[in-house]
Amino acid sequence: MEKKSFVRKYPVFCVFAVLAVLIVLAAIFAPQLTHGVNPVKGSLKEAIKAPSAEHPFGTDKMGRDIFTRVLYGARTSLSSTFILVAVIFVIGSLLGVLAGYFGGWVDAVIMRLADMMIAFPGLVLAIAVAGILGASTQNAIIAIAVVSWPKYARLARSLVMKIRHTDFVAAATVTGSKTVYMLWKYMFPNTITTLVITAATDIGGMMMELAALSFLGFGAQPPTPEWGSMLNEGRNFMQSAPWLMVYPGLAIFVTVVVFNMLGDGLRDILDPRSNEGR
Amino acid sequence: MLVVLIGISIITFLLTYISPGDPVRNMYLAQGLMPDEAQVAQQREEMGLNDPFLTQYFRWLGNCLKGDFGTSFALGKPVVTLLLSRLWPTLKLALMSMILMVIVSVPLGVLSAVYHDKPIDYIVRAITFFGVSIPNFWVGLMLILVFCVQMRLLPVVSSGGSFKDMILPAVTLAVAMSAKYTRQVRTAVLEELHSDYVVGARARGVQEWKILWGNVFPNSLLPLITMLGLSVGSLLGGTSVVEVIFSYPGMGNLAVSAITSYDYYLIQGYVLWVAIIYMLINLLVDISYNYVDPRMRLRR
Amino acid sequence: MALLDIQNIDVSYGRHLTVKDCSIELEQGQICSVVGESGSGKTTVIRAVLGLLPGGGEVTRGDIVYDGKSLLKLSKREWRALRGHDISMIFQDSGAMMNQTRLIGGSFVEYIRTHEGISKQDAWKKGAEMLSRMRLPDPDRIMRSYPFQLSGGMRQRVGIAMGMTYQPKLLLADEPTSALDVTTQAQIVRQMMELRDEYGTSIIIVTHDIGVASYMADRVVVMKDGRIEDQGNRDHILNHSENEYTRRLIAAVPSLGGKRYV
Repeated sequence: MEKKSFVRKYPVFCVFAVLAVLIVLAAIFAPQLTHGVNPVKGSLKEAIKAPSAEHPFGTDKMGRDIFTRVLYGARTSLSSTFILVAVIFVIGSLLGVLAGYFGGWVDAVIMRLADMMIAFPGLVLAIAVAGILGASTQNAIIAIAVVSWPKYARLARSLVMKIRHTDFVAAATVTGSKTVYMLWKYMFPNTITTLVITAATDIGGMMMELAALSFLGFGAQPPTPEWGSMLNEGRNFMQSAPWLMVYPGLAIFVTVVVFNMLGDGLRDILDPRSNEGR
Repeated sequence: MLVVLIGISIITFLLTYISPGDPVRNMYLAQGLMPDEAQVAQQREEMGLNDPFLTQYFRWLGNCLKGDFGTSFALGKPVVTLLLSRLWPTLKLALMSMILMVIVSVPLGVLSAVYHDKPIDYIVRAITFFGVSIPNFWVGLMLILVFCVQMRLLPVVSSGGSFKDMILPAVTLAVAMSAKYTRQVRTAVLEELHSDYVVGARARGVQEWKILWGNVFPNSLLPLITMLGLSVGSLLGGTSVVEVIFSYPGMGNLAVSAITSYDYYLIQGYVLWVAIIYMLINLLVDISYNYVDPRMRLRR
Repeated sequence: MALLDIQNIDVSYGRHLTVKDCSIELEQGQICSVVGESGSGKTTVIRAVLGLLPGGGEVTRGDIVYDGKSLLKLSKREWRALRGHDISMIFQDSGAMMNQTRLIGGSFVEYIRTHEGISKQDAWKKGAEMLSRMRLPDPDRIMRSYPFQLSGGMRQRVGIAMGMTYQPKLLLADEPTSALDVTTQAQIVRQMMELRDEYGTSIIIVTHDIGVASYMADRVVVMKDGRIEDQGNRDHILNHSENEYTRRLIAAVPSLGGKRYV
């Protein structure tokens, strides 16, 4: 009963939740879905083959099957995106809550730091950081995290500031509740919804930024299958083998669409007032 | 603002420090050279890398203030010269994509807001939704594929920076930004349309087009100018990617190759310049905001 | 024939019915007060008269006849010619109903030029003249002010002056005094009554203030939960109503400044 009404009430969310789960499953079961084809090793005899029954998405210059690599690429892209979003979510919210709760110099230091990071156009600094740290998936995540946490910190801070002076918090403080308890009991639950919504709607964008870094060569390194770096490799064969660019790009696009819709759907469920179509 | 400027400079300066390993060695290795210890030590001394951190920072800052951003290690030219030669193409590209963006998103956003929840609104919303979900580098690649490789209408490599060379890069940059901006225009106009004065004007019999273009639209420009200033941020980031795709001779392209060759001075110069450009633009936005909105101007 | 005849209208927002079976009749030169608590649907009724129901509101039954014509069948063009010319509306805060980023003069000129094809300069002059005719001090300064620069009472008087530019036959006033202090209230009430005496304007005033309503009105309509609970001439409603709700409303009125209108 309950379940049925939920599906009926939020059909869009449910459809895209299913699609998102399918994408995640495809990433997890990539080896099974591709019958154990090696995504990293190919045979040069098979190099640059157009899409066919045997290779639905064609093959690249090393004779690797693009379909296999796109599926394995989902592993890299999804896992690094989820880690990235989790990292900025945790760090940003934590710093924001602390800044908002303690105020004073803690607030000043954290927020000035945030202001400084925001003063840079995000991707510019991320490219520099990722590049200088050395090209790897991990460093790309660090680079984007460095420039993205302030958004969460600011949001969390403003939410905390809003409730900090409300009566029930004041009452709890007066009755001598411990700081940690206060943070956990009042600050956390009151900020979590908005922050989760923000994180959910950010997944798509973060995925694109990571892909952009890999595309520039500052993210996942070959031969690791990753959509951004596959596009970069495919770029040189644009004239002879357009499929090298079409499929990884489509994979990013479809995944981002699904997760964006999922994020929007989640926002509509958790915070119906913020619905744009008001 | 001064605080932010100082922050920008510190963070930029720190970029050298986050480098794993010895920066000097990295620079040699990136050039394909195998330096011996003496070379590295000498270069370190020349670059002042052995001095205390603050000494280094203030020397660097002082030089920057004098307009000396160092000399590119890889290209052997002063960073200022290099950046200046690439500044205009990048600004030109950014400006053109911005104009494109405004031309596309303002009418679409207004249309979508005025016909709120009508079919046209749904169509616009669907388009913008896909627009924000396409990575811009992929858009660039697909455009090259269609217009340069398949149809041979435009050059693949934008060597010169002529108008023709700029079309595809500008369109690429404009796609994602237009989608985002259309949404913002829609939201801003929609919010204004719900203002009391709209009801007031209707009650006075004022025509809808006069309400829209004489009142609602000018009023929603206020938030939209701010958004425009902020979108310059993603624009400047976006140029680096797009410049690489189209081999466009701009700052971003220069910076990406500088990063690959660990050309620290050049990277610092680029990051610093872009951050300052971004800051100046948002400062301009703030000033214009004060000028445009009488509520800001008359109250203090 | 009545100037305005609201005939058994229902107003709904989507499936939600906010006003049920409402009928009000208004003669030339008559002042009618619609009173009720907030949410009783009184504002909805006069908004419906001007065809200005907010977002998705609709008259789903009945008819509104003005000067012998059904308002519900007007074209957009006819509506525009009517609004602000034959029928004007003033609001709780008329200043807020003007574009805050434009000079009052600018909004005034825009309004005048909607209804006559005259030059901006002439429209400006006409606006200033209108303000001075309504005895507003220093009309030129007002024209050159932004709405937020004036006091609430001043803004309201500007709103009335604007509304009276074309000497409308019908003035709809939506809580015109609720946002004002008592002295300014009295001023505005007096001014509206003078309009009737000078120009023969019919007025519907919507208010939750029974004091104001009974002071001004010839007829009083009491609304509750979207229905008309009671209506009649002032004397009847104030002194002889049999309706339980009406009597309770009247009993709840505090005496204003020692003088009780009721």
